Amino acid sequence: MLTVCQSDMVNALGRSQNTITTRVRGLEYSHGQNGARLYRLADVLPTIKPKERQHVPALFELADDDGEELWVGDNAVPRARRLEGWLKGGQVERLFGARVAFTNALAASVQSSVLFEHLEALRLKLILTDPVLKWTVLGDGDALPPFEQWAVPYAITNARYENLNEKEAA
Amino acid sequence: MDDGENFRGIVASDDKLKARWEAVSDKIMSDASRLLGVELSRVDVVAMPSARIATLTDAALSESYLDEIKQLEAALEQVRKNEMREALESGEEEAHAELNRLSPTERMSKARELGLTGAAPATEPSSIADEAVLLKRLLTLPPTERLSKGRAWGLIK
Repeated sequence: MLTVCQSDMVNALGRSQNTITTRVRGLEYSHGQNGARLYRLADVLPTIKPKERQHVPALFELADDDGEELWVGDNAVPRARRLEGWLKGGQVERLFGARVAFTNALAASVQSSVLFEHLEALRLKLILTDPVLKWTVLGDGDALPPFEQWAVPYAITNARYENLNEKEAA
Repeated sequence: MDDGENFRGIVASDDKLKARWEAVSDKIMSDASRLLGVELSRVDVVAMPSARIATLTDAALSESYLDEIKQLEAALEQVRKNEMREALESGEEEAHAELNRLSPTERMSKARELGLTGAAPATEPSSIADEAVLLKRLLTLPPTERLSKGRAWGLIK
Protein backbone atom coordinates (compact mmCIF):
# COMPACT_ATOMS: atom_id res chain seq x y z
CA MET A 1 0.00 0.00 0.00
CA LEU A 2 1.34 3.42 -0.96
CA THR A 3 1.10 6.09 1.72
CA VAL A 4 2.12 9.74 1.94
CA CYS A 5 2.49 12.09 4.90
CA GLN A 6 1.53 15.75 4.91
CA SER A 7 5.08 16.97 4.27
CA ASP A 8 5.22 14.76 1.15
CA MET A 9 2.16 16.60 -0.11
CA VAL A 10 3.64 20.00 0.76
CA ASN A 11 6.84 19.13 -1.11
CA ALA A 12 5.26 17.55 -4.16
CA LEU A 13 2.38 19.96 -4.68
CA GLY A 14 4.01 23.21 -3.56
CA ARG A 15 1.09 24.12 -1.32
CA SER A 16 1.29 25.44 2.21
CA GLN A 17 1.10 23.21 5.24
CA ASN A 18 -2.21 24.82 6.18
CA THR A 19 -3.77 24.10 2.81
CA ILE A 20 -2.71 20.48 2.99
CA THR A 21 -3.90 20.06 6.56
CA THR A 22 -7.32 21.37 5.57
CA ARG A 23 -7.51 19.08 2.58
CA VAL A 24 -6.73 15.82 4.34
CA ARG A 25 -9.09 16.53 7.21
CA GLY A 26 -11.46 13.60 7.54
CA LEU A 27 -9.26 11.13 5.69
CA GLU A 28 -8.29 7.96 7.51
CA TYR A 29 -4.65 7.70 8.49
CA SER A 30 -2.23 5.42 10.26
CA HIS A 31 0.78 6.47 12.31
CA GLY A 32 4.21 6.14 10.76
CA GLN A 33 7.59 6.47 12.38
CA ASN A 34 8.04 9.56 14.61
CA GLY A 35 4.26 9.94 14.72
CA ALA A 36 3.68 11.34 11.23
CA ARG A 37 0.19 10.70 9.91
CA LEU A 38 0.26 8.42 6.90
CA TYR A 39 -2.56 8.74 4.37
CA ARG A 40 -3.29 6.27 1.64
CA LEU A 41 -2.20 7.76 -1.65
CA ALA A 42 -5.43 6.46 -3.21
CA ASP A 43 -7.41 8.59 -0.72
CA VAL A 44 -5.24 11.68 -1.16
CA LEU A 45 -5.40 11.82 -4.97
CA PRO A 46 -9.05 12.96 -5.13
CA THR A 47 -8.11 16.04 -3.05
CA ILE A 48 -5.67 17.18 -5.73
CA LYS A 49 -6.87 20.12 -7.81
CA PRO A 50 -6.68 20.25 -11.63
CA LYS A 51 -3.76 22.72 -11.64
CA GLU A 52 -1.70 20.39 -9.46
CA ARG A 53 -2.14 17.28 -11.56
CA GLN A 54 1.28 17.75 -13.13
CA HIS A 55 2.79 17.10 -9.69
CA VAL A 56 1.06 13.76 -9.20
CA PRO A 57 4.06 11.68 -10.43
CA ALA A 58 6.25 13.45 -7.84
CA LEU A 59 3.80 12.46 -5.13
CA PHE A 60 4.01 8.82 -6.25
CA GLU A 61 7.80 9.05 -6.00
CA LEU A 62 7.69 10.37 -2.45
CA ALA A 63 5.15 7.77 -1.36
CA ASP A 64 6.13 4.97 1.00
CA ASP A 65 5.36 1.42 -0.02
CA ASP A 66 4.75 -1.19 2.67
CA GLY A 67 4.68 -3.98 0.09
CA GLU A 68 0.99 -4.84 0.54
CA GLU A 69 -0.51 -4.84 -2.92
CA LEU A 70 -3.68 -6.90 -2.62
CA TRP A 71 -5.78 -5.89 0.39
CA VAL A 72 -7.68 -2.67 -0.28
CA GLY A 73 -8.87 -2.02 3.27
CA ASP A 74 -12.22 -1.25 4.81
CA ASN A 75 -14.87 1.15 3.59
CA ALA A 76 -13.45 0.53 0.14
CA VAL A 77 -16.42 1.14 -2.13
CA PRO A 78 -16.94 4.84 -1.35
CA ARG A 79 -13.17 5.39 -1.42
CA ALA A 80 -12.92 3.70 -4.82
CA ARG A 81 -15.84 5.72 -6.17
CA ARG A 82 -14.31 9.00 -4.99
CA LEU A 83 -11.02 8.15 -6.67
CA GLU A 84 -12.72 7.03 -9.86
CA GLY A 85 -14.57 10.33 -10.00
CA TRP A 86 -11.24 12.13 -9.98
CA LEU A 87 -9.82 10.28 -12.99
CA LYS A 88 -9.58 11.98 -16.36
CA GLY A 89 -9.50 10.87 -20.02
CA GLY A 90 -6.85 8.23 -20.60
CA GLN A 91 -6.88 7.26 -16.93
CA VAL A 92 -10.52 6.23 -17.18
CA GLU A 93 -9.71 4.11 -20.22
CA ARG A 94 -6.75 2.45 -18.55
CA LEU A 95 -8.84 1.56 -15.51
CA PHE A 96 -11.48 0.09 -17.80
CA GLY A 97 -8.81 -2.02 -19.50
CA ALA A 98 -7.51 -3.26 -16.16
CA ARG A 99 -11.04 -4.26 -15.14
CA VAL A 100 -11.55 -6.21 -18.34
CA ALA A 101 -8.20 -7.99 -17.90
CA PHE A 102 -9.07 -8.81 -14.29
CA THR A 103 -12.52 -10.17 -15.13
CA ASN A 104 -11.15 -12.33 -17.95
CA ALA A 105 -8.36 -13.69 -15.77
CA LEU A 106 -10.77 -14.50 -12.96
CA ALA A 107 -13.17 -16.25 -15.32
CA ALA A 108 -10.29 -18.32 -16.68
CA SER A 109 -9.01 -19.28 -13.24
CA VAL A 110 -12.05 -20.43 -11.26
CA GLN A 111 -14.94 -22.67 -12.15
CA SER A 112 -17.45 -21.97 -9.43
CA SER A 113 -19.50 -18.83 -9.09
CA VAL A 114 -18.53 -18.03 -5.50
CA LEU A 115 -16.13 -15.19 -6.28
CA PHE A 116 -18.36 -13.87 -9.05
CA GLU A 117 -21.00 -13.00 -6.49
CA HIS A 118 -18.62 -10.22 -5.52
CA LEU A 119 -17.58 -9.28 -9.04
CA GLU A 120 -19.13 -5.83 -9.15
CA ALA A 121 -17.49 -4.74 -5.90
CA LEU A 122 -14.19 -6.36 -6.88
CA ARG A 123 -14.14 -4.46 -10.17
CA LEU A 124 -14.91 -1.22 -8.35
CA LYS A 125 -12.22 -1.73 -5.72
CA LEU A 126 -9.54 -2.71 -8.22
CA ILE A 127 -8.35 0.91 -8.48
CA LEU A 128 -7.35 0.87 -4.79
CA THR A 129 -4.57 -1.68 -5.33
CA ASP A 130 -1.12 -0.22 -5.98
CA PRO A 131 -0.40 -2.01 -9.28
CA VAL A 132 -3.68 -0.91 -10.85
CA LEU A 133 -3.40 2.56 -9.29
CA LYS A 134 0.06 3.11 -10.83
CA TRP A 135 -1.07 1.83 -14.19
CA THR A 136 -4.26 3.87 -14.19
CA VAL A 137 -2.94 7.18 -12.90
CA LEU A 138 0.60 7.20 -14.29
CA GLY A 139 0.19 4.87 -17.27
CA ASP A 140 3.04 2.79 -15.87
CA GLY A 141 2.84 -0.44 -17.88
CA ASP A 142 5.51 -2.13 -15.76
CA ALA A 143 3.28 -1.78 -12.72
CA LEU A 144 0.54 -3.97 -14.18
CA PRO A 145 0.29 -7.30 -12.38
CA PRO A 146 0.24 -10.62 -14.28
CA PHE A 147 -3.52 -10.83 -14.01
CA GLU A 148 -3.72 -14.56 -14.67
CA GLN A 149 -1.84 -15.17 -11.39
CA TRP A 150 -2.98 -12.08 -9.58
CA ALA A 151 -6.76 -12.14 -10.11
CA VAL A 152 -7.60 -15.01 -7.75
CA PRO A 153 -5.46 -13.84 -4.79
CA TYR A 154 -6.88 -10.33 -5.20
CA ALA A 155 -10.45 -11.63 -5.37
CA ILE A 156 -10.04 -13.97 -2.40
CA THR A 157 -8.48 -11.24 -0.28
CA ASN A 158 -11.11 -8.61 -1.03
CA ALA A 159 -14.33 -10.55 -1.59
CA ARG A 160 -16.93 -9.42 0.93
CA TYR A 161 -20.47 -8.18 0.79
CA GLU A 162 -20.32 -4.45 0.14
CA ASN A 163 -23.17 -2.01 0.11
CA LEU A 164 -23.01 -0.82 -3.47
CA ASN A 165 -26.03 1.47 -3.18
CA GLU A 166 -24.79 3.57 -0.32
CA LYS A 167 -24.39 7.22 -1.17
CA GLU A 168 -21.07 8.68 -0.26
CA ALA A 169 -21.17 10.49 3.06
CA ALA A 170 -20.94 14.23 2.50
CA MET B 1 -48.34 -26.33 9.60
CA ASP B 2 -45.84 -29.14 9.79
CA ASP B 3 -42.81 -28.58 11.95
CA GLY B 4 -40.42 -28.40 8.99
CA GLU B 5 -42.28 -25.31 7.91
CA ASN B 6 -42.37 -24.00 11.43
CA PHE B 7 -38.58 -24.35 11.68
CA ARG B 8 -38.09 -22.65 8.34
CA GLY B 9 -40.29 -19.80 9.49
CA ILE B 10 -38.25 -19.26 12.63
CA VAL B 11 -34.96 -19.38 10.74
CA ALA B 12 -36.17 -17.05 7.99
CA SER B 13 -37.18 -14.41 10.53
CA ASP B 14 -33.71 -14.02 12.01
CA ASP B 15 -30.51 -13.23 10.10
CA LYS B 16 -28.29 -14.77 12.75
CA LEU B 17 -30.23 -18.02 12.71
CA LYS B 18 -30.20 -17.98 8.94
CA ALA B 19 -26.41 -17.72 8.85
CA ARG B 20 -26.09 -20.50 11.42
CA TRP B 21 -28.57 -22.67 9.51
CA GLU B 22 -26.54 -22.22 6.34
CA ALA B 23 -23.30 -23.09 8.08
CA VAL B 24 -24.81 -26.15 9.77
CA SER B 25 -26.54 -27.45 6.66
CA ASP B 26 -23.46 -26.80 4.50
CA LYS B 27 -21.37 -28.83 6.88
CA ILE B 28 -23.86 -31.68 7.02
CA MET B 29 -24.26 -31.79 3.25
CA SER B 30 -20.53 -31.73 2.60
CA ASP B 31 -19.87 -34.38 5.27
CA ALA B 32 -22.64 -36.56 3.89
CA SER B 33 -21.14 -36.38 0.43
CA ARG B 34 -17.56 -36.83 1.65
CA LEU B 35 -18.01 -39.53 4.27
CA LEU B 36 -21.08 -41.40 3.08
CA GLY B 37 -21.22 -40.60 -0.62
CA VAL B 38 -24.74 -39.26 -0.19
CA GLU B 39 -25.94 -36.04 -1.80
CA LEU B 40 -28.48 -34.28 0.41
CA SER B 41 -30.50 -31.16 -0.22
CA ARG B 42 -31.35 -28.55 2.41
CA VAL B 43 -34.89 -29.94 2.46
CA ASP B 44 -33.49 -33.29 3.63
CA VAL B 45 -31.39 -31.64 6.31
CA VAL B 46 -34.40 -29.84 7.81
CA ALA B 47 -35.70 -33.25 8.89
CA MET B 48 -32.65 -33.92 11.06
CA PRO B 49 -33.17 -33.15 14.77
CA SER B 50 -29.48 -32.50 15.43
CA ALA B 51 -29.32 -29.97 12.59
CA ARG B 52 -32.27 -28.07 14.08
CA ILE B 53 -30.86 -28.13 17.57
CA ALA B 54 -27.48 -26.90 16.39
CA THR B 55 -29.16 -24.08 14.44
CA LEU B 56 -31.48 -22.89 17.17
CA THR B 57 -29.25 -23.26 20.23
CA ASP B 58 -25.74 -22.50 19.04
CA ALA B 59 -24.71 -25.79 20.69
CA ALA B 60 -22.16 -27.83 18.79
CA LEU B 61 -23.56 -30.27 16.26
CA SER B 62 -24.49 -33.49 18.05
CA GLU B 63 -22.20 -36.38 17.23
CA SER B 64 -25.06 -38.59 16.23
CA TYR B 65 -25.70 -36.56 13.08
CA LEU B 66 -24.00 -39.06 10.81
CA ASP B 67 -26.35 -41.75 12.08
CA GLU B 68 -29.28 -39.45 11.47
CA ILE B 69 -28.17 -38.95 7.89
CA LYS B 70 -28.28 -42.69 7.35
CA GLN B 71 -31.86 -42.75 8.63
CA LEU B 72 -33.04 -40.17 6.13
CA GLU B 73 -35.24 -41.44 3.33
CA ALA B 74 -33.24 -39.57 0.73
CA ALA B 75 -30.06 -41.13 2.04
CA LEU B 76 -31.35 -44.71 2.32
CA GLU B 77 -31.94 -44.97 -1.39
CA GLN B 78 -28.53 -43.54 -2.24
CA VAL B 79 -26.68 -45.71 0.25
CA ARG B 80 -28.37 -48.78 -1.23
CA LYS B 81 -27.38 -47.68 -4.75
CA ASN B 82 -23.81 -47.03 -3.67
CA GLU B 83 -23.57 -50.50 -2.20
CA MET B 84 -25.00 -52.03 -5.35
CA ARG B 85 -22.53 -50.16 -7.52
CA GLU B 86 -19.59 -51.15 -5.35
CA ALA B 87 -20.70 -54.75 -5.51
CA LEU B 88 -20.91 -54.55 -9.31
CA GLU B 89 -17.59 -52.82 -9.69
CA SER B 90 -15.80 -55.30 -7.49
CA GLY B 91 -17.38 -58.02 -9.62
CA GLU B 92 -19.57 -59.74 -7.05
CA GLU B 93 -21.58 -62.43 -8.75
CA GLU B 94 -24.78 -61.86 -6.85
CA ALA B 95 -25.00 -58.25 -7.92
CA HIS B 96 -24.33 -59.16 -11.54
CA ALA B 97 -26.91 -61.89 -11.37
CA GLU B 98 -29.47 -59.40 -10.12
CA LEU B 99 -28.68 -57.09 -13.01
CA ASN B 100 -28.82 -59.93 -15.53
CA ARG B 101 -32.35 -60.85 -14.56
CA LEU B 102 -33.53 -57.56 -16.02
CA SER B 103 -34.35 -57.01 -19.68
CA PRO B 104 -31.57 -55.30 -21.68
CA THR B 105 -33.27 -51.90 -21.66
CA GLU B 106 -33.98 -52.10 -17.95
CA ARG B 107 -30.44 -53.22 -17.40
CA MET B 108 -29.09 -50.16 -19.19
CA SER B 109 -31.27 -47.70 -17.35
CA LYS B 110 -30.44 -49.38 -14.04
CA ALA B 111 -26.74 -49.15 -14.79
CA ARG B 112 -27.08 -45.49 -15.69
CA GLU B 113 -28.99 -44.88 -12.50
CA LEU B 114 -26.10 -46.43 -10.60
CA GLY B 115 -23.64 -44.22 -12.42
CA LEU B 116 -22.03 -47.10 -14.33
CA THR B 117 -21.87 -45.42 -17.73
CA GLY B 118 -18.59 -46.92 -18.77
CA ALA B 119 -17.13 -43.49 -19.40
CA ALA B 120 -14.88 -41.95 -16.81
CA PRO B 121 -16.99 -40.50 -14.01
CA ALA B 122 -17.72 -36.83 -14.50
CA THR B 123 -15.08 -35.24 -12.29
CA GLU B 124 -15.65 -31.68 -13.51
CA PRO B 125 -18.90 -30.86 -11.73
CA SER B 126 -17.76 -32.39 -8.47
CA SER B 127 -14.53 -30.41 -8.62
CA ILE B 128 -16.57 -27.25 -9.20
CA ALA B 129 -18.61 -28.14 -6.14
CA ASP B 130 -15.43 -28.74 -4.12
CA GLU B 131 -13.97 -25.45 -5.26
CA ALA B 132 -17.17 -23.66 -4.34
CA VAL B 133 -17.26 -25.21 -0.88
CA LEU B 134 -13.62 -24.38 -0.22
CA LEU B 135 -13.96 -20.83 -1.54
CA LYS B 136 -17.04 -20.21 0.59
CA ARG B 137 -15.22 -21.46 3.63
CA LEU B 138 -12.20 -19.33 2.74
CA LEU B 139 -14.30 -16.17 2.52
CA THR B 140 -15.44 -16.60 6.11
CA LEU B 141 -11.85 -15.99 7.27
CA PRO B 142 -10.36 -12.54 7.91
CA PRO B 143 -8.71 -11.14 4.73
CA THR B 144 -5.22 -11.49 6.14
CA GLU B 145 -5.57 -15.25 6.65
CA ARG B 146 -7.20 -16.04 3.33
CA LEU B 147 -4.12 -16.16 1.11
CA SER B 148 -2.13 -18.69 3.12
CA LYS B 149 -5.19 -20.92 3.59
CA GLY B 150 -6.07 -20.54 -0.09
CA ARG B 151 -2.61 -21.74 -1.06
CA ALA B 152 -2.78 -24.61 1.41
CA TRP B 153 -6.09 -25.74 -0.07
CA GLY B 154 -4.80 -25.51 -3.61
CA LEU B 155 -7.13 -22.68 -4.64
CA ILE B 156 -4.25 -20.37 -5.56
CA LYS B 157 -1.63 -21.79 -7.89
